[in-house]
Formats: sequence, C-alpha cells, structure tokens
Amino acid sequence: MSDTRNELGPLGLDLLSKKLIFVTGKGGVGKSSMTAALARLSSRAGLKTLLCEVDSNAGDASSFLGLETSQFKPKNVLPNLYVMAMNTEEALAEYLRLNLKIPLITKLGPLAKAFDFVANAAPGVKEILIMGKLCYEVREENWDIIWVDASVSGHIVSQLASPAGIADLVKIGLVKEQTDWMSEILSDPKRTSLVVVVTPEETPVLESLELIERIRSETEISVTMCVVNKVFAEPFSFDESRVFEEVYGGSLRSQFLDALGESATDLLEISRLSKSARASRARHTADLISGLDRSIATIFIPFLIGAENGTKLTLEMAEALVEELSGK
Amino acid sequence: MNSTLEALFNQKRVLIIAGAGGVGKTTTAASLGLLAASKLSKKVLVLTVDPAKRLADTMGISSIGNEITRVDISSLQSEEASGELFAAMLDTKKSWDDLVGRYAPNPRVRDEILNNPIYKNVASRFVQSHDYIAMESLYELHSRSQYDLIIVDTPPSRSAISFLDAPSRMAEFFSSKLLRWIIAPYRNRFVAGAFRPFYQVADRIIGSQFLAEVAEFFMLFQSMYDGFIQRAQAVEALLKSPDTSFLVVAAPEFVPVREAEFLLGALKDRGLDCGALVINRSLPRILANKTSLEAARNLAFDGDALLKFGPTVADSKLLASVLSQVGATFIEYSQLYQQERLLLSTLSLESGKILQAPYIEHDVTDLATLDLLGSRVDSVVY
Repeated sequence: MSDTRNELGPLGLDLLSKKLIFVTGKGGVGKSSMTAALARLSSRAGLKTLLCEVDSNAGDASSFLGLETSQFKPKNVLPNLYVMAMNTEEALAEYLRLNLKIPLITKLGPLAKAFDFVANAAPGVKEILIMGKLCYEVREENWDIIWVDASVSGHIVSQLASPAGIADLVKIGLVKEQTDWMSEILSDPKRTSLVVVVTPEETPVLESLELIERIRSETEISVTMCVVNKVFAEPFSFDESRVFEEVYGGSLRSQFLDALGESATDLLEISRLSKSARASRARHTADLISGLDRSIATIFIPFLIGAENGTKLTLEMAEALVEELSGK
Repeated sequence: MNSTLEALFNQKRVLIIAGAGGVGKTTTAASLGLLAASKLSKKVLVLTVDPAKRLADTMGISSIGNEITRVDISSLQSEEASGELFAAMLDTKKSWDDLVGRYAPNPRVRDEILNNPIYKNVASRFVQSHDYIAMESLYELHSRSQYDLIIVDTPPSRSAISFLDAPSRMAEFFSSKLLRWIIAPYRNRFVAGAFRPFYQVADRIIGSQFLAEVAEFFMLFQSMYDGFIQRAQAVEALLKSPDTSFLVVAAPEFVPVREAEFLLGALKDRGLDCGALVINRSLPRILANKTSLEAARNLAFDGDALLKFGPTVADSKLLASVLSQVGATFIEYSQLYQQERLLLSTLSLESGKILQAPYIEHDVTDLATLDLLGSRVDSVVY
C-alpha cells in the first residue's frame, strides 16, 4: 500500500477497485489527459495499471505520459504503468492464435489485411474485437486496473453495446459464442465502469447528459463518475463581488482609473472576464448536476494548461484528482 | 476585415476547415461564412457535419436530408448589399444513397444495394465513409457553381488528416485485391479452392452466412467501380486545385496544437494550400501588456494603491482585498497567457497567416456573436 492509496477516501477507493474503466467525453474536454492522469493515480497507488488507447485517438493519452508513439504490445512508461494502443488487426491475430490454434502469424499474412478489411466493413466486428481484447485482459487478470481512453462521445455507445448488438447480425460463429462472457464482464458494476469527462460549458454539458442517457438505455455499463474539468476559481467572495462592481462600473471607477493610470482598464477587463467566465461555468455546472442521476459522483478539476509538456500537466491533474478523491 | 481572410474570400472558391475535435471548427466556418457574405457581398454556403444544437438552430439547419437553407443576415448588412449566406448539414446516409443512385449501372442494382442489409449498416462506417462523403458532397456542390464560396467543416475523425486521403483511399478500395478475394468464391466455384484457407478461418470467426452477405454487398458495390474511381480522382483534383485552400483551426491546448502541427505538415507534404491557421479561444492580448502586469503586481502586493483612493471609501478592508484580487487575477491570467504563447510558438507558418479569433467566454449561438467573432479575427505573431 502506497501513500497515495492511504490518501484516498471511499470514492477514490471504490473507483480503483474496478478492473476496467472507460473514460469518454466530447472532443476538447481533456479526455485523454484525464485518462493519463487517472492511470498515473492508480499506478502511484500501487496498482499494476494498463492504459489502453482506442484507435480513434491513438497517441493522445500516451503523449501526456511523454511517449512519442504507442503500440499494441504494452509498454512500461512509469513504475506500475503500461500503455498500449488498440489495433484491431493485431487483436484479431492474437485472438486467432489463442482460440483457433493457428500457430503462425505468418500463415495469416495477407489474410490479416483481408480481415481488417472485413472488420472495417462489417458492422460490429471491429467493435467486438476491441471489447473482446479488453475483456480478455480483465478475464485473464493480467492487470489490477485498465483505463481505456475510449472513443469520443457518439462512438463509444456502439462499442459498448457491441456484445449484445452483434447477436442480431452474426448468427453463428466464434464471434457470437464469445459475446456471453464479455457481456458478463461489461455489465458487472463491480468490475466495469465508465467515467465521463466534461467541461462546464454549454455544449459539453448538454452532450454529456445525452451520452449518459444513451449509455444507460443502450448498454449494460454503469456510469460511476463525472469529472468536471477546467473549473475556474471564483475570484471574489459575495461581498467582494459587490465592491468589485463598484470599482468596475460604479462609484469607485473614476478613482480606480486615476490611481492606476493607463493600465486600469486592462486590469478591470481581466477581472471581469474571470468573473463572468466563472459565473457562466458555475451555471453550466449546476445544469450538469441537476441533470445527473444521484448515483453518479461528480468531482472537479481546476483549469490547468500545462504548456511546457503533457507529462507535467498529467502530474498536476493526478494531484488534483487525489485531492478530489480523498473525500475531504 | 483581416487582409489574409479578405484575400482568401476573393481568390478561393472552396475553404476547408480542419483541426482537432472541440476547437470550434463549426463556429469558425459559420463566422467566416457570415463575414464573407455580409462584408464582401459573396454568395456563401457553409457545409457542416455535426454542429452544436443551438448553432444549428441559429443557422436554421436541421439534420434532415442535406437540405440547403438560407440564413437571414439582413440585420448585419445594408439594404442594398447583396451578400447571401446558406447553410447545410451533411447527412451521410442520404449522401451515400445519392451516390449509389448516380453510379449504379441500372435501377435494379441500385435498389438491390439500397436494400442490402449490410449496406444499410455500413453506409456510415466503412473506409472512413464520413470523410469521403464530406469531400464528395463538397465536389458535387462546387461543380454546380451556384456559390461564390463554399466553406466546409470537416468531420471529427481518427486523425484530422484522414479526410485528405479519403478520395484516394476510396479509389484504392474499389480496385483492391481484397475486394476480389471476398467476392471470387461466390462468383466462381472453381476459384473457391484457392481461397479455402481464408474462408475456413473467416467462417469460424463470423459465420459463413454473414460472410456471404458481405460478399454480396461487395459484389453489388463493385458494379459501380468505374464511376467511383473517376469521381474519387475528380474530388482529389479539386482538393489540389488553386480554387481550394485549407484553414487549420487550433485552440491553445496540448492536443489541438499537436494536431494542428501535424496537419500543417501533412498539407505541406501533399502540396495542398494552407491559407491560414486560426487560433480560437486564446486569452485576450492585453495580457501581454508589460506595464499592466507591473501595475497588477503593485496592486496585488502593495497596499499603497488604496491610499490613492482617498478617505471616501466606507469599507477599506474589503476594498483592499478586492484590489489585491484584481491584481492577482491579472497576474494569474497573464501566466496562463504566457503558457498559451509558449505552446502556440511550436506552430510556424508564413507571416500574416496566423490569425487569432477574439476570446468569447460563452458558447457562440447567435448571428451577432458570429459576426463579432469573424470581424475581429486578426493576424498575430508568436
């Protein structure tokens, strides 16, 4: 047990007790950096952690861990932390090796390409391969926890629903036989969970609420947490706010302009911007919370840019996560 | 109006907006379309893929069947001005159906394809069909020559670049050996032997009935081979033509900047024209003002500012904390601003081609804000 683990409260410990966690959200909300930060958190808590990037955004999460590229074969990046990129072709080859006892990958040769092609064309095949590989890793207990930097909002639903959905299209064959045990893993809230990352802005909030509803009605996965990212700090208390308005546009404005000279308006505009940004974000946060089912926990991560490099950003985010998940 | 944009609006017929998800591509497309229509009296079409609901409402577009709607911009231009703005949302399924209708050898095959169960599921999926259909629809609209300018917003995809390669990938797909592999055994049972290993494996994975359905679908599709190849080549030629320019959109955050950097390189490698790089959601430039930063420091750390206010202030303690917070907020934001600049400095492009949109905190959902956004876009140097 490491120090990080001791710092976590019930919420954090519950999250880290899962085996397979999908992280999703609209583009631009910080989904990949949040996945990387969550993976850092669990690896620091002493869990053997796998971060899996799904093909639509391969490279994003690993870039936040200082990796140039990621491959199908998991790569160790930090103590306890491994990164892999999902690749349906390789997932299929692995599947065939394990299930059909086809000894040599070379035998597949050009066939592998043909399969990738069929997988692309045939509805659900690509999705089932992705989910199959993830569920396989869970079943084999290769990891303490797996974080999936999943596809953005819309696509995730079809991926998650694929074990149930494929039955309609593929009536026989191995793919069909495989779906039962996968469904069992995916629908078990003790093992599998979904985290939605959102920013307190109008469109991300609306789309996240829609997404959560779709996941609830179309898949068997339970959404356990909503991470509100890029939260702005409130610059003024209630009383200060009143005084600021006097300085900004009321009785104290002329005195402020006299005292500060040419810089006065720049200063006031930025405080105004900070205040209105905070206010609009608070409004959207309230909309989010009122729209969320009570069983879904909400945590807040401050606005961090982390321009120097992605690694530093995820470290800061991981620290903010520990703070939020400490239950204090 | 910014001169780079003005030149693009006057010289180009097609502008393609590209960038990572969530950077405001649709908003940029809409605001530039509005700008060209209202200020240069152009007849502009904005073709979008997946707009946020309220922006779609503002533009009067719905998701039903590729319909082009006219946006009322009379409030933003003088009565005699003749600019017109149109908007349409791409309906992938409808576009595919249209395409099939155009290239199917006869109505019977057309109906067979349209009613094929695989086609119904696949039209929106296979070989990045979203990307291809966006470029294909652009071509179709461009060839009708009804607009001075078409601005197209690219679909969110695996990588922002995939739409560039979509036409050639589509051509490759139709001429590929793979297609023949899948189809051959169903065409000729004598050939089937050669493909037996493939089918044995495939049967065990997805089942032979399903595979037969897939093959039937591909067989039907192959009948449109010539039309598709020709068309894909024409679409590719349009992307490379001097009429077309690409605008890369980024926001000052890690992933969007990385994506923009990649996109700028990819355009260059393919010999495609990059008209501008547009930075959205960047903090206001007043944060770079050194005198103001100095004043902010004084305000944040030096209580003397309060003395200059004179004795009229009732609650001087509260005022002191507000003033100090005003200073501290400016310092904090200017640090964020510096981080943004540092991040954006990795993007390089000819001078004048890097443009910055003004900072707007709330979602852009009305014409007046779109107008403000477009008309305040300006060149920046990092």
